[in-house]
Amino acid sequence: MRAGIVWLIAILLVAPFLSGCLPVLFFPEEKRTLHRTFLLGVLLDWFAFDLCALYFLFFGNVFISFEQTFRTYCVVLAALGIAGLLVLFFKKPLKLPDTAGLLRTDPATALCWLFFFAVLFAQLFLAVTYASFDGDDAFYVVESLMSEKTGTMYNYVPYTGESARLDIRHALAVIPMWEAFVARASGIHATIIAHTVLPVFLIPLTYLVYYGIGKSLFKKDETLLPVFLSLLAIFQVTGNTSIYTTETFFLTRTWQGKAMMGNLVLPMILLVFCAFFAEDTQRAADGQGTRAGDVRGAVLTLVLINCFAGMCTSMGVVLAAGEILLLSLLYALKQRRMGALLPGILSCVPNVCYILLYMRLK
Amino acid sequence: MSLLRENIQTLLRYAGEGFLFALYIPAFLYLWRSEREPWKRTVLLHAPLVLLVLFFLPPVTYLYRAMLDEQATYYRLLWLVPFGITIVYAGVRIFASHRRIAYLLMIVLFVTGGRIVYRSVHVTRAQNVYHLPQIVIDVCDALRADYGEGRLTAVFPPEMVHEVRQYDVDILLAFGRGEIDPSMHRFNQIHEAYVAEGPVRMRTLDRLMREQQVDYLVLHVNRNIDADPSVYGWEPVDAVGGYRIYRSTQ
Repeated sequence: MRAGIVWLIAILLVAPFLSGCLPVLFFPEEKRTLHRTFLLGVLLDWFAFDLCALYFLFFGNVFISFEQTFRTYCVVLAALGIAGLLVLFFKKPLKLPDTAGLLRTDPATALCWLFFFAVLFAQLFLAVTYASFDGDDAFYVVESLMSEKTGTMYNYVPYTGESARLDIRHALAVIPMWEAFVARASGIHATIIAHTVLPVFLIPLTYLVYYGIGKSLFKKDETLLPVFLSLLAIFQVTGNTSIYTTETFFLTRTWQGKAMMGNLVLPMILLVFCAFFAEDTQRAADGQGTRAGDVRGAVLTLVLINCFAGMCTSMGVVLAAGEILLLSLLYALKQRRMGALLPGILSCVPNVCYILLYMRLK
Repeated sequence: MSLLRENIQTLLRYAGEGFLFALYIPAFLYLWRSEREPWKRTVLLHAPLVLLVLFFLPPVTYLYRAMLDEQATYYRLLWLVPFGITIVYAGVRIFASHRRIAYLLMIVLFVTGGRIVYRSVHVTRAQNVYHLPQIVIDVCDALRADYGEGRLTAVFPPEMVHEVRQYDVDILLAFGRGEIDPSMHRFNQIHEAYVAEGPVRMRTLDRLMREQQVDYLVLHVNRNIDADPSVYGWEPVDAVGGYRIYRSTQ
């Protein structure tokens, strides 16, 4: 068990932080924050897994496709980690947090932060100690467990265990395979990974995204940021007004691809646009034009998010593209420059590839 | 017109029992009047408004269904609307100079207007780290203790089929979620015989289980059967938490 926990820390915390040192280089220096680095690293790791899994799903040996994915991804993850470590030591790309500023925080703001972390830890505690029933787990969690045990991918009907042809509608969304990877690497049962471990990783990750959104929304008064986050956390807990809301999915179906789509993919897209718009507005107010580094960083992040959307669920690529194109169009109309739509369109290239692949194989 | 009505129903079902729109609409209107930053208006007001209009348009509904082949998930378009961020942002802005009041008032609003997720009927205290009913794990362990390693086929009661294979994928099921969920339109004769009204006809169930080479039968003690399974070559091997486990001897 101890070894399993060490592997979990390595895969879920250390690896993304190191991998993130690579894509963060696309951002201007002052934007290379720890939090951005970690988010980019998580997305890059998922992107790498997506490529490995899809490659072996279609071109691998059908009887050992997950084994092949697992071995290849271990090598890729290690390579990304080493490359990230080298960048970290030689280029020192990261902007460290302002610890002196943190110590100067006023008591009221500090109390707000304490309250937010209290609510967050309560959510994590309840995620571990409470179980939620959902019939879809009979599909998704079992797919992960079967891959972990059999070394194959999507070769069986999860409900009964009988052999089956590749179910393309679900196979392209390889999040259950990633969960199987985490299970195999840590030696912990895939169902425990899904129900008990992943919420502890994904819930704080979601709030990290909201932290980024909040930083843009409250750029002029960051003391309101913990107020925003803590109230959002309460809203998440009380958002079970129906079984359809993202809040319900967030806390009761955290490990499922569709929950990740609603609670990570879509807010991440919002984060990219909020950060870009806030920066662009500031630069315009200072009499400066849009910076290429900001556009580059935004497009790269959106590409990674779109690939992750495809990993989560087939409809994820459609909804993600829809959100990106709508926000890009509104921005282009405001700027009176239709060329401003181009980065948004470019970032949706993975979505188009995914949809074409899906239609071809259906 | 009927599509429009359907979409309105979808929206109302999405809002459910709480005050989601009672909070969102005032927040939206407040920001429409007071938010001065153009990009925030784009993200929190203009884009959601366009999305909500598109949501109701029948051509968009047709396109969604054609592309994604899914009727029941149209509500997920509403996930593109940042309800929570808008409500909380508006609330924080309104009460920015009175933070204590903001905290208290909004927490009271959310708790009274919302529904706490942990009070859902689908959420219960976890009985183990798998977050599966302990009885399912105990029955699976009992099967495993009797059979040993390797794949086996079993008939489980419908209330257990969702969880069995989340614990042990080497237990194959004669029928699973596909058969017990009417929306999945899967048919299996063993399932039909197992859940038929009245006592389980053991002779019929036995024949069907032999055809599918079932190794184990799990029955709740309260489930009526018209004959002792051992008469048909099903030996009782264990009883776990109100469930009897029978092994095929043929």
